[in-house]
Amino acid sequence: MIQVSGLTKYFGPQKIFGDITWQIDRFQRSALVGHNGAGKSTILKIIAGKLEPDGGSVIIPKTMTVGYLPQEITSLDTQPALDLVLSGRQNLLDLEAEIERLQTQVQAHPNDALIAALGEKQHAFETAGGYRLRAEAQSIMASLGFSNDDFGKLTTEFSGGWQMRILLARLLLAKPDLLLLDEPTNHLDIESLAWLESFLGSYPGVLLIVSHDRAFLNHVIDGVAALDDNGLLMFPGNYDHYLEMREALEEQLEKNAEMQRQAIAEKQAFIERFRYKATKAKQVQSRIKQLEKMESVQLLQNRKKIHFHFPTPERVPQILLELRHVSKAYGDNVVYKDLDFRIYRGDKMALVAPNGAGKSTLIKILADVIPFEGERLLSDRVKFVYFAQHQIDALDFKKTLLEEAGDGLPNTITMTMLRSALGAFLFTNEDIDKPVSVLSGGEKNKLALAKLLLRAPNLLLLDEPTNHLDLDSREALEQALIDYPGTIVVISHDRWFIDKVCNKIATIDHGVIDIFDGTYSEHEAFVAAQNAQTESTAVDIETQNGKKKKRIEAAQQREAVKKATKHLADRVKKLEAQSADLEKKIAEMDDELSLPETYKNSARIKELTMAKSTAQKELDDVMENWMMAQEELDEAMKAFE
Amino acid sequence: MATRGKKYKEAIKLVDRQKRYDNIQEAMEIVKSMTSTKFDASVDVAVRLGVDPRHADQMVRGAVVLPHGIGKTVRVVVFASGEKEKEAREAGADFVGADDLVQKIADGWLDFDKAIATPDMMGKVGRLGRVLGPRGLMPNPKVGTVTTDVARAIKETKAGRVEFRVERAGIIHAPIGRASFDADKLAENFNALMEVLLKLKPATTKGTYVKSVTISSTMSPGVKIDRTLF
Repeated sequence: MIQVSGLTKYFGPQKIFGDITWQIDRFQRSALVGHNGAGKSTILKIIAGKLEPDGGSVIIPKTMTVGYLPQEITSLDTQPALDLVLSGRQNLLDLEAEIERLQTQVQAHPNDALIAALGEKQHAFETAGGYRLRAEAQSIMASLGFSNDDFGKLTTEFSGGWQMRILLARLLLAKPDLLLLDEPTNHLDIESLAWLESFLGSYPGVLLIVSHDRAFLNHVIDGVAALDDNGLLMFPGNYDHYLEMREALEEQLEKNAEMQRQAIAEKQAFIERFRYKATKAKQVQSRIKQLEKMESVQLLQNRKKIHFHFPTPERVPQILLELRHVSKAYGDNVVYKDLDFRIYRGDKMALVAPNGAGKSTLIKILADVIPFEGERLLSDRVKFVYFAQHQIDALDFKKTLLEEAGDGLPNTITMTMLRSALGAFLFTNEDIDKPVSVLSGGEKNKLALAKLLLRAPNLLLLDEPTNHLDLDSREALEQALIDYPGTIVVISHDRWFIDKVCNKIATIDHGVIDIFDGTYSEHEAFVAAQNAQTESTAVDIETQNGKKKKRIEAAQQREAVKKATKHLADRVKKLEAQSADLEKKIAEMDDELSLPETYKNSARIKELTMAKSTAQKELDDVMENWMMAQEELDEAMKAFE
Repeated sequence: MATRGKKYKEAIKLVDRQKRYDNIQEAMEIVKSMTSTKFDASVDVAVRLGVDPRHADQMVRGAVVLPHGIGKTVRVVVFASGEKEKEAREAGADFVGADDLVQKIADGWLDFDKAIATPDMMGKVGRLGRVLGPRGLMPNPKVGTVTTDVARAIKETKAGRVEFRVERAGIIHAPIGRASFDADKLAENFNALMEVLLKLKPATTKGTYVKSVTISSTMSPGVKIDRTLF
């Protein structure tokens, strides 16, 4: 059990948090949540012993091992990646060296004492999993996305994100009793993330995680510690459950506060009224004391919920952007060959693939920011904005937040709209006069996004827009994009975000794009069902490859069918909606006609009968058109079978 | 929920799942009768011990020579040179060698069930740790596979020497013969194993040492033995 008591920390004169008390039990898996700057990372650092608190203490049992993954790394020792990962079990490496030394000694001078010592060491090594150590390390690294060639590469040859993965692999191999993870999901692609989730799901120790990935938290944790100005509040269950409980608690506290306000007012009124009446003196004194003793109800810090309405973009043709026979290669690495791709009006499409599959390349081709072979056709009136992964570099750091946000915007955007947009991204009134240079990474990201969205584009090309955003800001962005009436193509590793925002999932596999019509969870269910089908029959690798090829071909075929029949399917849908509307209208008129009041009004009866017959005629036309459209669609589909 | 096959459902009718059998011979007869495989199924014992294997001093590990063997040909390789090499060959080792054997195994040959080494070879055999270790084939003095008396080690291994060690959940699994063995022979093998197991009880364990004993054959239901016998 870990005991945190009275923890207080100041940065300069500013109090980050005070009097934090927390008891972390064995096998607990908690998320530490709170707004940006609440001190989540600082608490993790203090528990990990990397930072001294200004007050209070952390008591960790001596036998307990602690592992900590920081949010950012400063530098890594230059050594092969695998060696650094293995150093997570330094005790086993030492034992292995000791065994080697004893083996050499036994070989040179065999005697009973040495042989017995060797036996003991070998036994301890085997029991602790020493013989499986390298295989385990390689398996963890492979699951985090490293290839076989990467194992021997020097740590300095990797980028920052990959260096973080090396550190994460080392921690996971070490399996400390207390595992502290600060934003472990940053820089992980969806496959690695899913693996990490399942790994942590069966983790045998205590987990304490700071993360802004809601889906990840929901899978891994069984409790939430929410940090705000009032201290630390504990909630059992996953993150979704926490949100529900918090909302209920907020309501309850507000009610209590209201009741308390009323009670105080009543008592004060009594005191005022009878203050100078001798016969009531005792009761007045009693109420004064009651007021003095009364503890005011502490409300939770308000989680802001502001809805931002985008300026309505201009209506565009059905196909916004089309790629024809596009090829792109980086040296020998061919990413796309003869690719055809279309973005339709109303698409909210997520590009999903492992790192390096060509997601960013595709979005850059769509945004026309990199050279490529082939045709890119942008329809008339399409105004797109491209949010790059490093969009914040484009900000002017000398300006204030409000000046920068308003820079270069069309005249139609009023100051109120600008302030409301910034508010929707959770910038406060005090924030907007801050210079851009003092904003945190997450805040700069939000500013860059708000700026782009205000230009009333009808196509958004977003590359990792949720990076560095805290959970509240993610929700704000999520809501903004759900409400957005235009078309979106987005790359994100946040599955929750994709699931909420997108209605199409484009998976990229070896330059082939497979588009799934539906949300991310529907896509997941579809893939799982497909995999189950594949697994049920034992097939050798060759057949597997054949199947994969067939799947790709089937996906291409599906895509072709979809492309060719989309206009028909849309027409059928539109006619169905029209007929439903008309049927509803007719039913309403029937209802009105059956009312006794209507019978008294002959003019109304006439009017209704006329309207009904017109509507009925219209419905018949619509139905006929619908049947024709449906037949056309069926025929078109048949042609592809 | 896992579904059970026809044979299993038939077999389970032969055993009283609530009963703790105190007659070993009877239990063996039941196990034999439940076996319906097309091959000669092995008969195995699972003993749940009241030990915490995470503590090094509660690690139960050992070997026992079963009086009637386990009914399987054990292929033994021996790392030895000079006199010991000759001794090993005479004792019936399937393959004996020194540097050549090390190289052969390093190249991927693993067609054997047990490896024995003389102490003076351990420097060389140590290099094979990453190959033999994960497969449980690494010679270890603690279980008698690093020894100067190679002849005895080979004979014992061939005769039915069974190594066992407690796994993470505190359970020992060991084979005690084949379904074709007579019930009394299986019972004798079982008793020999339990005798050694009881001798290995760590001094630091608390509470009941033998928590449950179950005998089964390949793919058969288990027959529970009365633990108070031990």
